[in-house]
Amino acid sequence: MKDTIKSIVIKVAIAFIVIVALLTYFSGTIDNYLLPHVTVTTGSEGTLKYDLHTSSTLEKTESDGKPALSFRFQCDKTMAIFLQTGTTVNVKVSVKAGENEYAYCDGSSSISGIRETEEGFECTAVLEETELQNGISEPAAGDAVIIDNEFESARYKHVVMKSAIQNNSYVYLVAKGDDGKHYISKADVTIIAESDFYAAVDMSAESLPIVLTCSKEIGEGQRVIVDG
Amino acid sequence: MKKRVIISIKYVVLALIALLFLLPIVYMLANSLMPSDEITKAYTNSPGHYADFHLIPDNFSLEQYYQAFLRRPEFLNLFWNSVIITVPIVIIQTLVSIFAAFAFTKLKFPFRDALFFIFIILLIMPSWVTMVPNYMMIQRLGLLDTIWALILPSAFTAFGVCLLRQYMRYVPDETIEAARIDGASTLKILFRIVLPQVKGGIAALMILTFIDNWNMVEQVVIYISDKDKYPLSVALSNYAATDTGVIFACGVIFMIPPLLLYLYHSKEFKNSKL
Repeated sequence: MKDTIKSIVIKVAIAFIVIVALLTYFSGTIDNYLLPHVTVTTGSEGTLKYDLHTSSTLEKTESDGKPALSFRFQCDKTMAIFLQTGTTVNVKVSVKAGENEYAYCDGSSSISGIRETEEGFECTAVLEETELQNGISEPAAGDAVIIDNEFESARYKHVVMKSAIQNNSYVYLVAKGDDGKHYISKADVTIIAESDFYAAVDMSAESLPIVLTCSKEIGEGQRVIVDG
Repeated sequence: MKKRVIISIKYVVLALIALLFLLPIVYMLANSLMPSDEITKAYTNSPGHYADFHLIPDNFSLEQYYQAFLRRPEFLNLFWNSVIITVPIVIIQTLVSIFAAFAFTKLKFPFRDALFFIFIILLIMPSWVTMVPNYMMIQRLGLLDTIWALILPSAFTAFGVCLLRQYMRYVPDETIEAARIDGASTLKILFRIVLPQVKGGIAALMILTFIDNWNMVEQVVIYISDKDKYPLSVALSNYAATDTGVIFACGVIFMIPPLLLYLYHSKEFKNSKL
């Protein structure tokens, strides 16, 4: 009995060591084989824009004795990576106001630089502190970006990227795997803009459509990788 | 009847205690079989959302093992770092302890007991006390940031000597005398007469040394600065915040070698009366 257990343990131990040794030895090959091949699109100039359509239930409140509607919106969008913390992102909020309705913003907004426009409000929001997960650091030139589709265990490695810097130095990349999925490094840049908007609108309205546009101007030499 | 009830209660209490000790292992196994999002959800504790600990996976998945074995080669390298550090320590410490314990028990030489008393003092001192002198010595030897900085201080400890000495004391002197009369050399007496009688002690020493050094943390952090040389025991905690899911799978893999060593020596270990 004793010898049986020992012989089984020895067999299991040998099998375990051999498997782990083989996997370690061939780990680079296996990993490379399993990684999707990434192609890179480069060289478009302009502004990246993201439109998020959402709606919020408006609550009737009082502001300085005036009937008002207030809402809070939160834009939570994996919008771009490798934008440094502190990067200014333009956030435009449009509130559809009906005829003879006038929307204005409360001065206590946490968004800086907010100003009223005919359509609604334009403001700038500063990117929150971002944390690159899984030990990712900002890629050096020539690094490829390989991220899983779920944006969960994202990481980048292997040199496959060649980003062409155009004359005007506008560059952004969309990394697309040969499996048809877009691969992007993990960095949830969350733009959170919180504000109370008061609109002297029809108080019977229960909800208003809100269009939130987040955009980032691409600066010289910056690389922005976007979700396809 | 009363005796049976008492025995039953004893069994229930012991079973509960065993369950309590097993719970972390079961929990680790269960988590290693969950997909990443389920684990993330389980450990997210934000306002309005509380941690959702559970033992039965909602979705069974081998994703974490896939990640650990095939997609994250660094974990396997760290595993081998643990092996490279631990195995030499176990071998050297066992050999040194066997010879030293034999000398302290069965050989007669001047100041034997006084020397052993110094060993006892070393045993009483916590390892943190000797860490600073060890660090200075290793630094002067130019071994900092090498695996020898971990192997050498751990390979020569008083614990193994004291443990095996206790076992060797029970080996009758008469058998040694008889072997000596028959012309056996000292080494032959050690290997043919003494060691077969202290197999349990050697097994216990190997298991305890292996587990102790397999889980080494403090020495690594102090003596090693290159993170590529870290054993898995230290790296697991480093990755815990970002790779929670994979860490569970790595924990299971990390647990296998000590478990196999214990199973191999289980009979000797049980008979060692530790």
